[in-house]
This record gives sequence, C-alpha cells and structure tokens, in this order.
Amino acid sequence: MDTTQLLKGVLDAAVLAVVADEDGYGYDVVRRLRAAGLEEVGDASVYGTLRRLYAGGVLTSYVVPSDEGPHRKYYGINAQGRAMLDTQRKEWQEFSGTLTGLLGTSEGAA
Amino acid sequence: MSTTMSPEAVILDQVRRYAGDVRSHLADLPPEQVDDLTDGLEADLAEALADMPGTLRPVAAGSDLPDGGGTALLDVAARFGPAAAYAAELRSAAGLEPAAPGRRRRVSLGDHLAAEGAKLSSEWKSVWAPVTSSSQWAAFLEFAAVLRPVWWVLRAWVVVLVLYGWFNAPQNFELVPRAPFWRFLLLAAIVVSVQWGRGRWLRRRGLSPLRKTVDVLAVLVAVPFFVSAAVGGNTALNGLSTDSVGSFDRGYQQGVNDATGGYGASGISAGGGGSGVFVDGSPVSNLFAYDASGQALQDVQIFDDQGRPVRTVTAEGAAQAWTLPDFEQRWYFQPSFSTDGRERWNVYPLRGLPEDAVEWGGSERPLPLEGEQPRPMPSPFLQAQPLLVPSTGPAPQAPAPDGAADPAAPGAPASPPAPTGGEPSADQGGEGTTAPSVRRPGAPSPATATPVLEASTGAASSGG
Repeated sequence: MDTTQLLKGVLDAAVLAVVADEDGYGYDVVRRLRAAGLEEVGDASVYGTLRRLYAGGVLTSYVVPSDEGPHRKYYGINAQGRAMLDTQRKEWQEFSGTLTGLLGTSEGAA
Repeated sequence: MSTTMSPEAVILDQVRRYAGDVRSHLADLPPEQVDDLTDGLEADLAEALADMPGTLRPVAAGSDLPDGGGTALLDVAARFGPAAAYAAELRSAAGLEPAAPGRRRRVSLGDHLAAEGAKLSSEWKSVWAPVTSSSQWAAFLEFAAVLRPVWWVLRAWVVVLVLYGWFNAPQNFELVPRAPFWRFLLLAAIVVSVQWGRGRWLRRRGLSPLRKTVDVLAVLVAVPFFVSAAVGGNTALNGLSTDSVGSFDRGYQQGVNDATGGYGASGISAGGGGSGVFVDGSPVSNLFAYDASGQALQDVQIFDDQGRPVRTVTAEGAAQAWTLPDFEQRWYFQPSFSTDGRERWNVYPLRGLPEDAVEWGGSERPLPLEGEQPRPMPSPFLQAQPLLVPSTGPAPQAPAPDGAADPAAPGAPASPPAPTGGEPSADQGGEGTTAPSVRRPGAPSPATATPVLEASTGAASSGG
C-alpha cells in the first residue's frame, strides 16, 4: 500500500498534533513525525503543509535568528488550530474505526 | 579553496544553491508567496543534511575540482531529490497549483543572468564562509544592523550631493547645500531612503535591484568622497566661505539664484583655483591705492609680474549684487574702459552703481542707466600714512629691502593721473603713464599698459 497517498489526507492533523505538542521549525517537525513512525514523510510536504496551515490562520509563526547559520522559522499552534485539531482527531477516530471494522471483517472473511 | 572550509560552511553553501534552485522552480508564483514558502528553507535543509552524516564528505573532498560545484549540487539532490520535484512537493503540500507549463516563464536571458548571479554570489559567499560563519561575524552584523539608519541617511545624502555636484559648478560645491531647493531635496531624499530602508515604501520586488544598485553606487561614491575629504583637507569646505566678502545675504542670494535657475545674480565663484584676489584667505572686492604721501590714487591699473591684469571682481562678480556697509541698496561694480573701448577690470578703486541706477537689458552684467556714471566706492580711509621714500637725491634712510630702490614715485600728486595716451618709450618708461607707485621694487615691469579713459565723475577723493 502506498502510504504516502494515505499520509496526504492526514498530514494536516499529524503536523497540527506535533506542533500542538511544542513549537517547532520545519525540519524539527519532520524529525518528530519520523520519530513517531511516519518514516516516509517528505520534507517538502511537511514544509508546504506548515505554510498552508499558517496561511489558513491556524498556526502562528516567528523567526529565530541563528548564531551559526540561516535563521529558523518556528511555528506554533493557536486556538483556531487547536479547534481544528480536535475536529480532525474526532473525524480520524470515526474514520479509522470505520475502516478498522471494514478491513477487519474482510480479512476475517478471507 | 573549498577544501579548507569547515563542513558546516560546505553544507551551507550546498544548501544555498539547492534552495536557490528550488526557488527558481517557484518563480511563477508571486514573490511574497515564494518567500513565504521557502523562508527558513536553508536552515531546514542544512539540519536535515547534518542529520545524515557522510552525505557531504565526498563532496567536500572533491570540491576543488573544476566541476566541484555541480557535483555538490547533485549530492544535495541525492538527499532531497531534484529541486524541481522538491519544489513541486512543496507547492502541492501548500495547496498551490502545480506549475502550469504554459504559465511558467520561458527561460529568458534575465533568468540566465539571475542564475549566473546566484552562482557567483554563492561562490562568493562560500569563499567568505569561514569568516561569515564565525560568531564574531554575527556580532559584527548585529552591530552593523544598529547602524543601518545611519546608512539610510548617508546614502540619501550622497545621492543628493552627486546630483548637486552635477548641476553646480565645482567651486560652489557644498557638503550641505544652502539653497532651499537642494535642502528640500536632501530632506525628501532622506525621508524616502529611511522609509525605503524600513520597508515602508517601494516594497515591490522589482525595485529590490534598484535599491541594491543605489546602495552600491552610494558606497562607491561615498567612500572615495570621504577619503578625499579627509585627505584633501577642507577644500570642499573652503568653497563654502570664499565666495564673496561683504555680501551679507550671500546665502539667501545664492539660494534665490539656484532656485530661479540663475536669474539675477550672485553665486560668485572666487574660491579654489578660481580667479580673484585674496587677503588672509578671504576674497577682495576692491583695491585702494595711496601714493607715497598717503593720498588716495584714482584709476590705478594693476598688473602682476607677468603682465596679467589683477582682477578682484570676476565675470560672475560683475553680475552679482554686492552689499556695502552702511548702504541699504545693493551695488554693482562697473569697469573702466581703455581708449580702445575695451572693459578694464583691473583699474582701482573700482567704481560702482546702486541697483536702481543700472539695467540688465539682456547683458551679462548690469549696465548704467542712461545718464548714470559709475560712482566711486567708499574707501577704507581718506588718506594713508605717508611713507619715507628713498628719493633720487641723497637717500637718507629706509633702503629698499632688496637694495634696488624704486625711484618711480617720490611724492606723486594726489590728483588722479591724467592718462593721455602717452607713448611708452622704452621698458622703463612704460609704467609711468598711470601707475606710478604700484610697481614692485626691483621687479621687472611688464610692458606698457593701455591708457584708461578717465571717469567723468572726476571724483578725486573717495566717495565715503
């Protein structure tokens, strides 16, 4: 199964969850997603998602200069983002429950 | 070169190139959107690379090869994939339309130049990476950032000074223009520059190169300018003060003059290598000659040792209104005329006319009105102290400094000399016509001077 395709639909929720945990910059979010088990997540996908969520007004953003190199752009979640995360969490639980039931029966039947 | 770079610097260099490539694949998006999408990208890429040790080792070793740049680029791409794909992923994840092949700009000459420029700038950065990646550099940048407002003012000043220098005679150059128009321009330029610097105005992306160009030009002009100002002393500053003596409202006058594009008068240029006579560094407007007995002389022709007429009032000065102490009106100097009708400005004391007695009539300097004759100007004193003069007879005392006593003027009459066009006979008779006492002792006198028409006012004494 192409997990990258699956990931597309839920990347927003995953990114929101990671940022809700703690503010993070682009690669930091990538790293945490991978550490959580989403090995195939693409860097650019995460960065793009962060930008889109920010543009959608559910993330805040601030730039932190770095002593050793280029500056980092941090993202944090706001109230709107938390609301969105709650909604998506609920939707995901329903959806995954449904799908688990669906797949479980088919597997059992086979 | 590159082999001496720290691994971090190498990574940063590669990352900058890759990020630049990614941006070039987003070039069809509005610049703000590109910025938004790729802000902080370098940091992310660099950290991602640092997370995979070994990725860049072979690159660093091989980067002194001629095609090292290309190899390095490929190596970053090996980790992140081709920049085009990376850009596409970024774009789609951000919910933006994929780059439409039709909408994407064709690769133009400008793009090529931009790519070359980016490459050059990247190479330049990599050369300096050991410096720029140090914490001292960061401290310096922080310090420099504090001074940025100073630079904003400075660049506006430089630009206005360049314009000012362009439109004004060099001897009129001023570090702080006095003319209201230029002052206003300076203020306006500073406001624009500061607002520009703060990013308030002219934020359009297309203007960024313009801003950079202005900055570079300003640096190129400012540095030599201030160095020469520091080395060459205060020649520029001198120009401020040597314009005209006795003209109290000179600043205002010049302002009016500049603002009206040269209408009227003033702006006399007597400074620097210009013409004029100076006493203790300040320009002289008129000369007053007294004979040995202390009597004021009229219509004395003055020449230097090379026979050049000594002229205190330049052509500009002749067109300029002068203020005289205790006179409300302003005056214009008037020349004498030689017998052949030519103007003579080296005949002293110069005469003049108040401004209501002259007319411009399209000439370069004001001419006397019908019936007006140039009038004597006030002299500093009616009579000078008489001199002890070595006479042609028994010379009692006061020998000439260089031993060569001048017998030319022993007690010359106080009345104005009467030039009658006397024929100069020989070398030593030449100066006898009009200028009895101004010859430098012992110095060879120039050839004969042209007789000067006697002014018909006949004012023998000074007008004061």
